[in-house]
Amino acid sequence: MEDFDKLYEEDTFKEVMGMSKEQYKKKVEEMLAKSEGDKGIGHGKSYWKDVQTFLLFADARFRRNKGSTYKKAFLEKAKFIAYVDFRMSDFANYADILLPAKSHYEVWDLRTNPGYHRFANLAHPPTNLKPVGEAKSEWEICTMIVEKIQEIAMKKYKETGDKKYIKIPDPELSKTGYRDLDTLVDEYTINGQLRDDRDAVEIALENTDQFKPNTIESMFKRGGYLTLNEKAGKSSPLYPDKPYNAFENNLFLYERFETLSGRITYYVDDDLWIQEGANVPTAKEPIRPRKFPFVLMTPHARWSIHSTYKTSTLLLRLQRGKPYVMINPEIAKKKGIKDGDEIRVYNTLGEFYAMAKIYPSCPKDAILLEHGWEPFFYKGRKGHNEVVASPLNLLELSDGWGHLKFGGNWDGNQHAYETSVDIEKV
Amino acid sequence: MSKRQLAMVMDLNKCIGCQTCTVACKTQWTNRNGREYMYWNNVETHPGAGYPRNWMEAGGGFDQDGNLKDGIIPDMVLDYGVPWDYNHDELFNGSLLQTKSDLEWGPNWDEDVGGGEYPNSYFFYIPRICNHCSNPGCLAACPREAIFKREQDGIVLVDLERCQGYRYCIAGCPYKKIYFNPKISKSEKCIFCFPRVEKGLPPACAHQCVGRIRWVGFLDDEEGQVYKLVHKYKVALPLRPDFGTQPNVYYVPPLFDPPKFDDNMAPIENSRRIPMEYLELLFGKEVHQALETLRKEMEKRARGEESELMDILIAYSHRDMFRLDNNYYQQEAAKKGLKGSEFFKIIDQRYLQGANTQRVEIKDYTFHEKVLPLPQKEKHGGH
Repeated sequence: MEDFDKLYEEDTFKEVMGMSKEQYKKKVEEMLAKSEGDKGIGHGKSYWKDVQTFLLFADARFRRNKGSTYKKAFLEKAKFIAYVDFRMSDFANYADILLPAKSHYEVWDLRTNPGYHRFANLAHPPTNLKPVGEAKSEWEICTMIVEKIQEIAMKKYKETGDKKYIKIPDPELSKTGYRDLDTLVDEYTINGQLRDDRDAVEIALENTDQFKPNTIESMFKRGGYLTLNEKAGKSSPLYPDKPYNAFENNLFLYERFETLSGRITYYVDDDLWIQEGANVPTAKEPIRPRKFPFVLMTPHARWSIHSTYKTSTLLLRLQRGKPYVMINPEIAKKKGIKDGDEIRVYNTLGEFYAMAKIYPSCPKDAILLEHGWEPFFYKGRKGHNEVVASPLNLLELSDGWGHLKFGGNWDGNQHAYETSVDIEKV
Repeated sequence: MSKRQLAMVMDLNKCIGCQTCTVACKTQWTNRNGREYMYWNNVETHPGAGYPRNWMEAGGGFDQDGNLKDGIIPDMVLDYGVPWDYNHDELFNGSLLQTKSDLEWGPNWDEDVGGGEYPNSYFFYIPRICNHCSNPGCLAACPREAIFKREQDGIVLVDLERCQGYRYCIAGCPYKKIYFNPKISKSEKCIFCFPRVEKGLPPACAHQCVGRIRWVGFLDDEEGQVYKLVHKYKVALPLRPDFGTQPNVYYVPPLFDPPKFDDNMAPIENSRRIPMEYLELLFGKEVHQALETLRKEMEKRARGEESELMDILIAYSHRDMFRLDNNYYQQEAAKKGLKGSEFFKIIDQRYLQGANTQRVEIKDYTFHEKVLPLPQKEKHGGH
């Protein structure tokens, strides 16, 4: 909210959102209070309210959740951070303990996406692969952590005889209301069957109906993949001789879509959405401040998958080797910026430095910066998130956190083209 | 002229500039032993300076009378670009990730820049390997006769035993597709993946291409798709034929670019963003006819009629796209009574012998700081 206040202009915001910044903030607080805990109107929860210890897997947190104020707040709250990754992300520097993981191609894994096709691929470590340092698969890391927890708990229990060390109350997530630490390892590993990545693949193949009948050996024989059987098609039947077509069930076989109406829904019948004029898909002017002339556009990076592989020397040599900002030639000329110059990108929130690339396909009212650069690529460790405030889109709060609870993976949407900046030659 | 000639066709309409070919080549051949700066395969944005920078203006090739033209050797820093390294190890201690050398130029430095003005800007990609020319400028320039063209398939190779690192070949090649290896002081270049080709596999760049834009085959194989694209339909053209080296890599020129927008951002019908003059510069006057053929065949197909050309360009099957002529190499070997891996012996031994020249043990990869000093650019006026 601090960042929000600093960045946005009252009149622009009011014009676009139809409410003052004060009203917006009040609304957010109201909605959050409503959805508090399980008693709320939705079943949302305030985000990690009481959590102070973090075990995070491959989550470059400050790159995803933007703004330096968020970073400060997180670090103040976090008492202890253990971080697991196969690469040195920027976030790894803030961890108390860093656990090196094996990368995608060093572990056993099944890759599948039944939404797009009907195959599952087997990832497996190459023959004679030498382990890199102490890296372990995530499965092994978790098993080891679980073993240690049980060991410590049992030791305390034996010393004191106090059951509180092995029976930890967990009313929300455990069926029994307790976590039993004396049997934790057995429970976690299914009595020793599931200790590492290879076990996980074997168990998945044995127990997942859609994978049957398959084993690691049968997948190997076919060159490392399996064909999902007829039980796998979620939105289309799986034919032996036809490719997968999503939504055949709904569009041709007349099954209901998983929406309230059973059809593809463009109308959202919700007070907040109606109030915001968004009950049907509606384009709105962006809320970014008008006093800075350029929209900051951050398209998907070409030479990385978000920030993964961003530090690859091989791929960095196929670009400019460090963060670069694409600028319209006419704008560059006006600003006295030449290709390859270092420029400062700034607004009221902050600034960052990058190389200028003169780019005819860039509009005159925007600058382009591929996303995924970690803060450690930038001068002073000030990444491009320094100039964004990322307020949550109010619509995401309707009916409590979780956007009307339409299924699976809710993710807090923000505003498109939310920030604007100015540039100057350094 | 060699007895037979292997050739490659690349369809520029399908190249998305993903550089998978570049990476396939780099990891297979040029990420070590003094080749770090070389890109035997690169993909460059056109119009643009390319790699090495401004190679089209760097001379070499032949004039109309067939005389070798003067050329220059591109500058390591400004034209090739020093392959930069990073301080990855220091990241752990909270350091910034930085390059150990200045960033001046690289193989993809002007990626997507192209020409025109927003919103009517334009660009397209050209992947480039050695053209394995029928009249190679590098071969003509070499005073040591260290460059040779294989009888069996026309692949142009450097005899590393004979090469003394004079670098006339670099000046002589108008495509600047032969490179100086400062570690062994010899010239090296794209070898058309001949160890793969001899086993019936296409070059790595072609095999890995996700856009399936590359065809590989013998130019005299009339059943092959390469022959059909080059000779039957004449839609695949050599790059800069005016350089006079008779390249054997052919390109299907870009037919598609979005129409221009007028002041009200409405598309202007039948307008092209890529200037025809530029395509003419790259592919010669024949480009008009090639584009016309492509357009006609597309329309034919759109009407529901058969079009062999469109079927070829759709690139249904690797088996048809890569026609290394039914184990041609093995048959040649069998004629000589060679078995198994012995068939290597029918191929010119010169490159392989050269490969046994003293190997360089690389202990650190900051090689560019210790390279033999390259001559200054301006002092190079050919020979």
